[in-house]
Amino acid sequence: MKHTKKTLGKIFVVGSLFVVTYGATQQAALAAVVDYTACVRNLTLPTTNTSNSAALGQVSMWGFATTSGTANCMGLRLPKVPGNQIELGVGDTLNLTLDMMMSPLENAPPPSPNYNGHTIHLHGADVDAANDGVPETSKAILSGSYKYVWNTTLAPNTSSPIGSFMYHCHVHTVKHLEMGMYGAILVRPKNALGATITNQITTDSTSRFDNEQTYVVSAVDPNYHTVVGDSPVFADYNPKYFLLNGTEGTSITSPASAAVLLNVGTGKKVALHLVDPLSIYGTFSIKDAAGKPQQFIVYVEDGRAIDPVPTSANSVTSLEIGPGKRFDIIFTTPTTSGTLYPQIEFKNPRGETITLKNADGAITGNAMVYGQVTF
Amino acid sequence: MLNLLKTSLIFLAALVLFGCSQSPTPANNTYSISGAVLNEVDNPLANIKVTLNNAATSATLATTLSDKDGNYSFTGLANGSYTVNADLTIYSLTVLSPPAVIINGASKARINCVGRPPRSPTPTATPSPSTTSVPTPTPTTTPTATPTTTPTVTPTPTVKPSPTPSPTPTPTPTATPTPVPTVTPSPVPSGTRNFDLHVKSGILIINDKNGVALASIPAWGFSPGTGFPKVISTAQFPAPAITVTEGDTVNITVYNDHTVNHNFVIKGIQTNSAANAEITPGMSKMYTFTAAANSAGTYLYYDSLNNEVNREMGLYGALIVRPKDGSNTAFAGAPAFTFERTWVVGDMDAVRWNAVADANAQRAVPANPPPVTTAIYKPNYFVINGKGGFDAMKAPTPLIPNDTSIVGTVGESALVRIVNGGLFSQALHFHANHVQVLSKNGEHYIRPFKLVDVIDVAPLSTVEVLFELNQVGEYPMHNHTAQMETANGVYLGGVATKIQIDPKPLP
Repeated sequence: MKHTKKTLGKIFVVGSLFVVTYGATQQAALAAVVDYTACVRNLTLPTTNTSNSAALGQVSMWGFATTSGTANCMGLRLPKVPGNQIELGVGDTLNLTLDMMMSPLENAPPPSPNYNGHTIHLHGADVDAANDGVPETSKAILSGSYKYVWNTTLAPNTSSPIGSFMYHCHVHTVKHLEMGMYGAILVRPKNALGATITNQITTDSTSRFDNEQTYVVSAVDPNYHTVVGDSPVFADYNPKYFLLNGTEGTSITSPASAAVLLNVGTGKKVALHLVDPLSIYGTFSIKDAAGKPQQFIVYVEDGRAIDPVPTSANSVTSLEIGPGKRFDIIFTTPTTSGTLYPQIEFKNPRGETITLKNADGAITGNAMVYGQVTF
Repeated sequence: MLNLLKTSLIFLAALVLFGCSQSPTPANNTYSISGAVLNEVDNPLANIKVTLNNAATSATLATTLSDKDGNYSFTGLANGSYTVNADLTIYSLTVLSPPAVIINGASKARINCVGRPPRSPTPTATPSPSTTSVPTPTPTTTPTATPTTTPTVTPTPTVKPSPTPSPTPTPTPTATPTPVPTVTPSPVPSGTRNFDLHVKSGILIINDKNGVALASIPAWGFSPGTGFPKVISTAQFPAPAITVTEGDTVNITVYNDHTVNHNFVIKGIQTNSAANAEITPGMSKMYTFTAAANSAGTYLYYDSLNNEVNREMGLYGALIVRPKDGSNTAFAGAPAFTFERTWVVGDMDAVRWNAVADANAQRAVPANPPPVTTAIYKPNYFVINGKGGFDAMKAPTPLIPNDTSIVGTVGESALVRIVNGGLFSQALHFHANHVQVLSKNGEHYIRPFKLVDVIDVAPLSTVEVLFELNQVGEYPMHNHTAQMETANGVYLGGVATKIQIDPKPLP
């Protein structure tokens, strides 16, 4: 019985990938099973923030190496911060297997809890405790592998998940999230035939877009990376590096790395999937080089479509993002060519703008990260 | 262990009678009744004598004392009908509706005894000519034959001092003794509600997993107490939730039992006293307002003095206005809830702020020491209802209103009222389900309510969300900001609590 199920799963995976690649018109299974495997690996994040001369260099991270399919982690897999995006259609079942082979562990010495092992929490998926990845209510995975299942049709998902979610480790989150164990999950709408729609945020056709980009917004406090266990260091968060999809982008002349940059046509609709896994508040906006803000529409918040469907009357020019939040938005590029800079100005939980300081303690500017969209 | 046969004294405590005192089936003396003794603003009352009576004969079967959290329990009980009463004479309170409990094959938890002050003759149900212009319904239809009304704030007609010749209907025993509160809400008559709060200094204790103190933080709190003499000697965290009903005239008297000036502000509610009027040490001030029509909701009260220091020290609490129609809703038009929780969240910088401010206050007279350097704020303790996460995650049986845990069965829904008295935003992440956002800072949203899994509650903000319990299991609710999940770096010692969803009981 089990074997049959597995085979079915593989068939469905092929179907699902097919749809993603070739678009919504293809025939697809109504409810596919989508397999992914995640491994945990050490990696080093180069930091280039020249305004932070005090701590230039490298930060040790733990990244997810995430691939579609059911393969194990035998081969060395390339970890990334954030981990690769996971995609599924609404109605699908996600099987996300955490393979612990060769995973770095926290190993905190006593008397602190050791916080060994890892889990995957499907943030926003509202799955049952066994699949929720919370060690305190189920278990941490110390070795072997564990399959986290999210059936998007089961209660309490009857209000239809859509848009951006995330996966992250839920062991000693203070440490493990900061170490880089996070990635985005994108749930796409389906059409009446059950085919995944790859150019809309929701089932409503007004959320159609021409181009899209996922923005995982995060930060690094290097102090959190060198301590383990229950340490007072974790009570004082002082992020120094501000990341968009794992790279810094401190000014419009030095936006986040090429992987984040989009090149689209004029008058195009661009969807951005904003994902904020860490302890970071900020104001998101899209501005031109002169600082003039661009309007955009929020279609989804925290994986639920805004109801009623927003229209241009609901356009905004800024959006407050915060820890654990996700938003799926669309903006339209102007009709004459140019460049826009989606950007986040970071704040602390007290609502104060985070400033950058040089080695002498003098303020050199505000903590920002910039993307770039040319058209 | 209580010996049930030791029925020495006979008390005529309970008035509630139940016709069906089924002759207790002999064996199976294995059930229990437990709950908490509370005052009207939901504060646990310790060391109170609680009696268990035979519902039919009023004979006292057992007595016990409530513990420091107000909890009591009677164990070793057989099937049968009981009433529970508490002797609150030292507080000048009375349990107006001693809860009636029928044990039939299962223990009963969450049976709370709520003490209320004897009513001043104000809240008559008769259309009073002057005071309240609220159109109170004609000489009520209220006391229908429904068994026992649930212990709500409603002035029950039992101990009515005024000799109104209305045919006071003693709730006669009805055929079905199941006290299911499927009561169609009846309008609550308006009245005058008096509350006393004392500003005091105290110690806020954050415990670890084993109940051992991780920190003892000097803090200040609004504490309950009826006028003078002061009932309790130290500050209480969180400050009591003050619960009133639309149409009520509310008098809150704030006594300053402390050494520095304080004030009392209710965000979103105008009181008679100027908002920032200071109460000097040893003095008191009365704040009066009428809970306006359509003002049902959750409010934050706090001390706004001293450049946020007084608030940071713990001087804040929740004020709840219930809808006039008596319904189980946050406000007119909001979805019904099965039960509710109030979360008062905040943060403290124990070393830079609390220790300095408290030391200064202790020598405030006559010296005037330098104040806290408020430019630097690095809080290292984060609290929900005055507790760190390890205490907050415990879901004692029975739950008392100060508890934070969401505990219920599939199909129930919890209204969660959140007020943030701290200086840091609280990004509260629910596992198990999204929540419906019903209101924010007094703004009532309309259907369909927005669904989120992280509700961000900014400093001085109030939010009401509805959490529907729809899958069995145990889940966390926690702040998603890393440091705010810790107690000075000890993981899970910060803002976190438990969601426990049990299967729907068999019919």
